[in-house]
Amino acid sequence: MKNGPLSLLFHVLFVAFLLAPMVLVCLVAFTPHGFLSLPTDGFSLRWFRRLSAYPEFLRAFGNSVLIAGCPRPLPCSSRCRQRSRLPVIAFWDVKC
Amino acid sequence: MTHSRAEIAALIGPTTLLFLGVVAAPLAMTFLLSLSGWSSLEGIKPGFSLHNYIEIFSDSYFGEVFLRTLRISLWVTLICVLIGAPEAYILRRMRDPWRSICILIVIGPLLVSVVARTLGWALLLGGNGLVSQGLQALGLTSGPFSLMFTEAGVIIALVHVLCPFMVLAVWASLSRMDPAVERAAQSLGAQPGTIFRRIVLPQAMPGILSGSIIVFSLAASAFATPAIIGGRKLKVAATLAYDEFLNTLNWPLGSAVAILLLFGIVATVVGWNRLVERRYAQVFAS
Repeated sequence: MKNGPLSLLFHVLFVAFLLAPMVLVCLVAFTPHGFLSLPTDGFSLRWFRRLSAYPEFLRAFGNSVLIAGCPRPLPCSSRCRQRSRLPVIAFWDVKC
Repeated sequence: MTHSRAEIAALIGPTTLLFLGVVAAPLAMTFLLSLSGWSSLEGIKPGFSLHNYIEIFSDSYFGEVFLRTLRISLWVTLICVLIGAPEAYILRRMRDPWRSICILIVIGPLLVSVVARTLGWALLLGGNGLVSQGLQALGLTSGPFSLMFTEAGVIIALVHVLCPFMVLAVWASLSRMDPAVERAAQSLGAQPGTIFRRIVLPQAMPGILSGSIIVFSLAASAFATPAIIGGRKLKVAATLAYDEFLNTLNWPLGSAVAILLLFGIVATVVGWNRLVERRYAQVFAS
């Protein structure tokens, strides 16, 4: 069964709702001004340059990469032969 | 396939130890702490009593905060079910290159820090944010309309953070559905709306149940999003416990708030679970 036009419209709205804040944050990162604003005047890498010279951020970024790279203990054994058909989400890093 | 007791112990042993050490032990310590006394001069006093719980139940401030937490969680769960379940069904009906891309888009927000997403909402919901500008352009409001520091803003941001979980849960449940049943209904003349309502929805109920349990628990215990969008004046249970721990330094009272929140969530989840499993017993039995 195919998706009708109404379903596709709903889907587009849903995806727009999901992506809107992140797209906005990415756009605001390129602002040339000194306050939170959309880059309507032109894109600038000023804040990225500022960030690369900010030692606390570089250290925190390194810590995050280290933590993310650590292997997580998975509760399964090599003798487990039955495979579930449901998607198994092993890494669950939710902070809410 | 039968396992010996040793095999079963080896399979679940590590997880049980991890659970006991990392989850059960701190919870037990928090419960014991909630029974302790406290004064601003002496700190945590030894001895056990229930006066923290009595204080919470007798003060209407705490009741208001817990009621707000429940209200926000119920609204978030309802909206997530209403938009997440159809979205999972739509995803399932897509053809292959689009389906993988859209699943990635739906799971994508989970890979980004919740703080970054919530800051995006702080930009959108503010006085001169896009939501306000859109409402003014449509003529629905006369001046700048800010949803920041309101319950509605917290609900919108929490729905954004939590609906991928609902989509995933319903998706998992729908993937076990036999597609031939839908086609059979279509060949018998059912409209797409009827097919969704009478064939797909009952079979998706296990997924909706597990999704709503996940969303409700995460919404009721949410901290970062209500703290950023709600601000200092709009407290939910998690930010209230945070306040007691770090501002008032009354750790026993904060622990009591946390334990009560835990009991509230468990009671709601167990009750909801029983209700849905009884109502849709046929789907769960299969």
